[in-house]
Amino acid sequence: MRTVWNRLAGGLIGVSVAMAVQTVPARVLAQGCAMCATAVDDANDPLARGLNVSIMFLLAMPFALVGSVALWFTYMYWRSRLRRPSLRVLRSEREGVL
Amino acid sequence: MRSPFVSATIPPLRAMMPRTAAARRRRGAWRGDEPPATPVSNARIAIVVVLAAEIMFFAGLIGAYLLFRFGTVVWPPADLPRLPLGVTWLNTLVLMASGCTMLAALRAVREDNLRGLTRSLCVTGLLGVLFLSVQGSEWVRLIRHGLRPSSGPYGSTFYVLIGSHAAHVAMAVLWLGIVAIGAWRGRFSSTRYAAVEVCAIYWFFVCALWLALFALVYH
Repeated sequence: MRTVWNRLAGGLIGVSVAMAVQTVPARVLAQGCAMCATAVDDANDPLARGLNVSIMFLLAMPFALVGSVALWFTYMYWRSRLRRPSLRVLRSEREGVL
Repeated sequence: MRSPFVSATIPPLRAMMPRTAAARRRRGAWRGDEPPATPVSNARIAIVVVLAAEIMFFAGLIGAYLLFRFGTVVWPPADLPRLPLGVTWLNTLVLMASGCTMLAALRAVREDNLRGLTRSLCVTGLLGVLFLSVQGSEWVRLIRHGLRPSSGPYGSTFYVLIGSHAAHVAMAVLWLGIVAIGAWRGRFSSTRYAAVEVCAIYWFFVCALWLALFALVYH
């Protein structure tokens, strides 16, 4: 019973925080550092475009990297699981059990 | 009761953790010619960590390149020489051919063909040296035509990006040489070739990275 109340309280806190974040204007959330904001204020500025492309690329790279490694690890794990029974059969055949 | 997230993540991670020899014996795996108990060997995990660091290093350099490329109205600048496309295409083919010979080396060691392994490693190393030589000669030509590291963002990003890749190829060639000496001395077999495999993975990384850099910088 206590666990259920704890979960409910956790959920309520989460929803409250999400609602509080929603009240902040998007313009405030989208601020970069003070230097970048003053240096590239105009969205049509080529430097702003370059900064955007560069930041998006650098933002995506760690996720792509960690995601690829995780996918590869998962693939290797499932492949080894698939291979295990056949190995056992091979070992049994060699030892003359079958 | 464990949450679904824990059930989905912990067992695969636990299975991939490097184990001691005693733990392997307890599990009754990897005796003689059988594959290891862990799905991913320690050598592979090590090279993945190295490659992850390398990828982030090059991501930083590419990020800087993208900033200058998209942040400049005219790219490449009109007063600087154009990069040589034809020769670099041929050089790319040379590097891709070296990837194929590296694949042949891996196949040779898996078939216990040590002579074939040594030959394939030597050919791969020679192709790598040829790639570096052509790159070097092109750099000399570009510098003579006025494209220097000090020629603004275009020159500096070009030399830093391509130079870093060339340094990595040079290191990989050195590594290949060490592995080739080991192969010549008969240190590898179809059940013991982790050094060849890691070297091959690094070489494939260098080849794939060149394709990305070639598409980005030369086009």
